[in-house]
Amino acid sequence: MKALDAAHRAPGLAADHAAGDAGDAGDAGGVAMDEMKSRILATVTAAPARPRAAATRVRWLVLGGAALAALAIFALAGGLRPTGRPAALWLPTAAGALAIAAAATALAFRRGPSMLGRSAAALVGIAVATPLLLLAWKLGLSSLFSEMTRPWPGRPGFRCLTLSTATGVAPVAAMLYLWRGTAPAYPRLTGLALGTAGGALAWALVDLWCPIAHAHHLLLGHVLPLLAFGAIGAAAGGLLAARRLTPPRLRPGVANARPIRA
Amino acid sequence: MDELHHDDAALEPSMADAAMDRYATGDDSAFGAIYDAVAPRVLALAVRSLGDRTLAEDIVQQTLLNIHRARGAFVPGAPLMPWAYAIARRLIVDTVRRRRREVQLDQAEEPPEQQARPATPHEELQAHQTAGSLRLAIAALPGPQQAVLHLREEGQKLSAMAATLGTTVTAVKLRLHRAMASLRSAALGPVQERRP
Repeated sequence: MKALDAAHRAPGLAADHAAGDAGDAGDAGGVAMDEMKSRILATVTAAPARPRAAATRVRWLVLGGAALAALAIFALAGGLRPTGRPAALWLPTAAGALAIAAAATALAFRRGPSMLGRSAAALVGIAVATPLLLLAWKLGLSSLFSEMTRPWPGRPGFRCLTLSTATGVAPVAAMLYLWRGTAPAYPRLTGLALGTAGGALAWALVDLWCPIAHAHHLLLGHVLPLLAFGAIGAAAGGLLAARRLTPPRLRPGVANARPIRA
Repeated sequence: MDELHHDDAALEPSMADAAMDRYATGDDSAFGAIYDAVAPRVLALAVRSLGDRTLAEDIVQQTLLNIHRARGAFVPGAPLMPWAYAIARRLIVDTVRRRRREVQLDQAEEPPEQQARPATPHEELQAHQTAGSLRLAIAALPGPQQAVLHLREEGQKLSAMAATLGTTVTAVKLRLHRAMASLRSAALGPVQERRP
């Protein structure tokens, strides 16, 4: 412990002032690095984690399952319904919405070059730009066709709200699940971006189902669930942060099997 | 005890990154090298932040366990240490919060006369002159500022600190400036107040 004490007395404000208690505590109850190493190695051996290849397979399974669930709900609700919309409108509208949703998902779900995830600005950018782009695309394209942005008095947007919520749950839950415990630098903003991306995927599906492009309807039935998913993602962002893990019960006879203190 | 020799001998970041890459692809034997790279640095950060070696060891174990659990998600070619520091900082913040809650609960259970007793000037002066008060001030700093202080203690240059923390040199300078200002005011504040 002399080395530790000596280092704590080395020049530097933080070390000077952290030294006393740390050194004392170390003398009293600390364990040697080698002992700690063997204990952690034993803990890790007792609880194998999936390597990259297996984790990638699981990732695709979870994402594929979520996509299938969303598609099943969409199909149960009636699937594609042009309902008076010309193909020249609904096809590019849906393609554009899908492209925006896919871009948002790729940006939010992929970490980029670092394990810390995207920057705060990028994550906020995803959350802000995605609903704005989707809304602008839908309204802009529909306004090129006569009568396509007219109000539908009997359809304020509650059915779309329900369908958007139902189709978005699985993708949002899947993405949050796959990011859990991986400690991004901004867990809540990452959750916000993931929630928004999942909501955007739901938007792309519901866009194939809903013929209405009136602003009030879009705000209630399409934008609101997207924002709600973003808020849910942000609230659940704590799940993504590093967390205290309960060590596994070590096998009898494993060396240094003292459990991690809770 | 040779903790600091461990620290001196800690693997170069690029070697640690390569070890983490190997570990992520399934080479379990690489975990020892990851431990050698991460443990001394995180232990030093946690000891400085918490001032309690037992808690600091817990942070090291939890950090490595988090890395292990998430190894399949490790981005190929990503640097290991910024991630390890991010995990450790989060765990330290949680620990500090938990301790504060425990202290508040303890204070709430104390009899009112004990709570109301003001500290004497001598006690106050003594408290601020001890290393403990600055340690508390360091512990009260936001996690990123603590990390910058810690890396400065390691003798890292600004650019290396920025790379380690996954941020810019400007942000590192700002954090360092704010951390030092907070510590300065924590150390000098009461003395200045007593000046006529």
